[in-house]
Amino acid sequence: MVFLPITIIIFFILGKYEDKRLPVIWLVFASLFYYGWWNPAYLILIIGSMGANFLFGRILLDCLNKKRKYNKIVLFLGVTLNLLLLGYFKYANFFVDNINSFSSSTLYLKTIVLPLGISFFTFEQIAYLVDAYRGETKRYSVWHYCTFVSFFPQLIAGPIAHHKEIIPQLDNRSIYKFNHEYFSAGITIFFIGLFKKVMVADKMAVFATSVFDAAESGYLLTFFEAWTGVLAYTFQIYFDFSGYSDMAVGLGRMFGIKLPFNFNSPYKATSIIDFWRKWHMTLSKFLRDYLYIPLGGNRKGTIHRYKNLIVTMLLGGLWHGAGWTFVVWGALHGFYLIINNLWRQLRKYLIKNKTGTTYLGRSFSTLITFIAVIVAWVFFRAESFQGAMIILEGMVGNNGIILPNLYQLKFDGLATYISAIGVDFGNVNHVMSPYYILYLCSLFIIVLAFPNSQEIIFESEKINFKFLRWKPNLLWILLTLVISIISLMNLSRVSEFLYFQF
Amino acid sequence: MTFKNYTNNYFKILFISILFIVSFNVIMKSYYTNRPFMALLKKPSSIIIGTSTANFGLDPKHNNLVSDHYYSIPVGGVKNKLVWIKRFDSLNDLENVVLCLDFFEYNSYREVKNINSGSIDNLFLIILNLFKELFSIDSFIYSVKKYFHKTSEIVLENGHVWLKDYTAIHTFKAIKIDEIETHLPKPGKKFSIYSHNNYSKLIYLKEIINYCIHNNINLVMIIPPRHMAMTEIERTLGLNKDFENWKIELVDLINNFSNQQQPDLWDFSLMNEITTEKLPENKIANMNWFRDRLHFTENLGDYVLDVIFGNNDMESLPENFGVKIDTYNIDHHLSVNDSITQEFRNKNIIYLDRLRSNVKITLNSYMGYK
Repeated sequence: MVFLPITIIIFFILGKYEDKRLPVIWLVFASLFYYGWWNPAYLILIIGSMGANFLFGRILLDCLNKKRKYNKIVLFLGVTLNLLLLGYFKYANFFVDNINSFSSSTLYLKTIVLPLGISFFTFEQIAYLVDAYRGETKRYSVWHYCTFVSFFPQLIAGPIAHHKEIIPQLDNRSIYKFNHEYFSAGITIFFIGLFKKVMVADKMAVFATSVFDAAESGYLLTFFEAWTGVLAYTFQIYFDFSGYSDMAVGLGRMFGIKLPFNFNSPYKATSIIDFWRKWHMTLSKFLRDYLYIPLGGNRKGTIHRYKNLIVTMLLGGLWHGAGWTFVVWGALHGFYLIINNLWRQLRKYLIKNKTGTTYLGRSFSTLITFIAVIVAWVFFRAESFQGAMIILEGMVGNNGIILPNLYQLKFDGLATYISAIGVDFGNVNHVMSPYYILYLCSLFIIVLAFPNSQEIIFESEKINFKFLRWKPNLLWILLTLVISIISLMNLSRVSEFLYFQF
Repeated sequence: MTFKNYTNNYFKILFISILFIVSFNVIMKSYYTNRPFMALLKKPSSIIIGTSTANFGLDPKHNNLVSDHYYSIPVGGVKNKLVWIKRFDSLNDLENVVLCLDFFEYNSYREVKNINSGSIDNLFLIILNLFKELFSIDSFIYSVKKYFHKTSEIVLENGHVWLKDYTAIHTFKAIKIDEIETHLPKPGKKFSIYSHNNYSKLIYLKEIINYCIHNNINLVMIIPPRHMAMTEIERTLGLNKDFENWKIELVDLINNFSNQQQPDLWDFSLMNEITTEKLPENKIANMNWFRDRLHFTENLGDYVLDVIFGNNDMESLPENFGVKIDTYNIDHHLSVNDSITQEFRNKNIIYLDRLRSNVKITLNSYMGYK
């Protein structure tokens, strides 16, 4: 509330001076202050990381075409340093725990607190080093480089910005002049993001958490309990993460900086390949350019291609968190991608008319993709395999298909027919209220039929619903106002503070 | 409309809306917004501080309270109580603090952070919290309800909450699940009074006592009356020993201070005719002494203040209603209470069986509980 206005105002005041380094330097200091507010000790980490990577990058660029052999060593050292840093903070405890459980040793390592954003700024800098090695970067100024890494809107939760997307914008003198169009677009998308987080993701989280916690404690979930819990999580993660990304993009726009989009209606995807083009797009791009392609991509035959896909997705899974459930999530997606590729080849072989698709066919593909993604989310969210398996068993109806008694009264005469198809009525512990179900259904419609926030704000000409096209008018002022006030008021709830936060 | 107009109009209307909401909450003196504002305006020299238990039950206008400037404030969390005592003291030098201690604040299965983490005296944070309370959805909803006369709680000028409706909100049959969850750990995460990092919530209490001593504030601590049903729920959950140990911890804590500095600690949680008042079978019946297992009525609150601050006809009260406890009498006190409890339990086997069975049914329906 205080940090943002001050940072913006000073940025544009400094932007009036001829020396355009001043606003950039200000942005770096403001971003580091923001980062240090959480834990000042980790400022050393991010500053050290930026300094070391900048130096490695400079060495690589200076030695380009001169000492190719040494360049390889420098690149190796740089990437290893980044991975060691990430490995220590993110995976050391996981590594020790696994050694202990596999070898019955009793190694002890104090719990290491994961520095905020380390997964993001490590990947950004690895990409920079690789590009420097390839000669695909320029000699950036140190302040521009630091802004690229530490720019606060994207520092904590992405998107994983690419240096070529950000740093050239800092050379453009027009960004230092306050731009009403950028600013108003930024404000609007920022509050759309906040609304998604506070009013959708957080509400869904309540139900999802209780269902997943129950599974972890061994409670056998019935069909509807499991499905509603998993669907709640499916929407929670999308609205949470895309909400954060919208907020980052919006904040970036307020400064005149265009951050890359991270989501493009992923649940509308008609295949898993399509899903990964729409979900966490900056991570997909990084994994493709800096892992999958260097591994050989699809250049060395089908078997190698599938092997590379699996390796990429396994590591992609591990990047999300230090746990075997994340690895399984990655493996599942790798497997899905292989199936998807095989299907495409088979389809090419079987069907002559390769381009022809029907509405029904596309809808079916979307449904299949959606279900596959949901199943994978179970492993992503569960804390253990036991918990994940209980949920999956519930989803296939192993523990009964039971609707709560209250629905028997609501369905009235239909209840007999519902019972006839194998659905029982009884005591179910975890029941979504009819309003919650309605909320869930409306989210379904929103993610499947409506344009996403970035389309509304930045690509409005593509939208069929004219009233949804963002433009400077009273309707949009009021809409933005309503979502901003609701989000802000919900951010400052006091009930818990009063009674439950002990 | 130009983008410049869009931005300008947006901020203008946003500012006006925020101002309206904040003002509305201030004017309506909602339950939430009332506290900081009244505190700022009234500058009380004495306070009753606790959770909603004290806020509903202890009337700051009670005859035996020596000062006219008592103000009642409900604050969840021991650390927050320390913060608010300091805030009040900084507004107007505090003279008296009546501190109501709720076991479930200490016993909750939540990890305690280091007392040094976070700056509790930071003026910026105080102002920020004040604004957050004034601009929260809870305050606004409460104000709207109050405007349309849909709320049963009225906050008085002295911070005390007057309840229009004395209906017992939790009956014998309807044990609310969130009430029980308060006493349960999250699956697989069990903390105790002392969490694994050895920080206890009692350190905040120690800090409160220290603060009061060094600032010449007369501190009285109360373990409030609680209905026997609460004690039996805790017994079913295996927490009854924790409750006794907590009392021992409290007297040990007080014993760390010199005799002249030790604050009084009164225990009203014992089993007697008052705390075993029969719970109603239906939701509309009223009780004399309790609203539910933890919240007692003003009638009982008056007796509590009578006992602590002297006078009135004490003969009508049970002998063990309000015992000043310290390291010398704690063991005896606990063993006497044990025998009284046992006696009561033997006489009420059917009643207690029903209660335990209800608790177990509720527990079984709590998904996270093993």
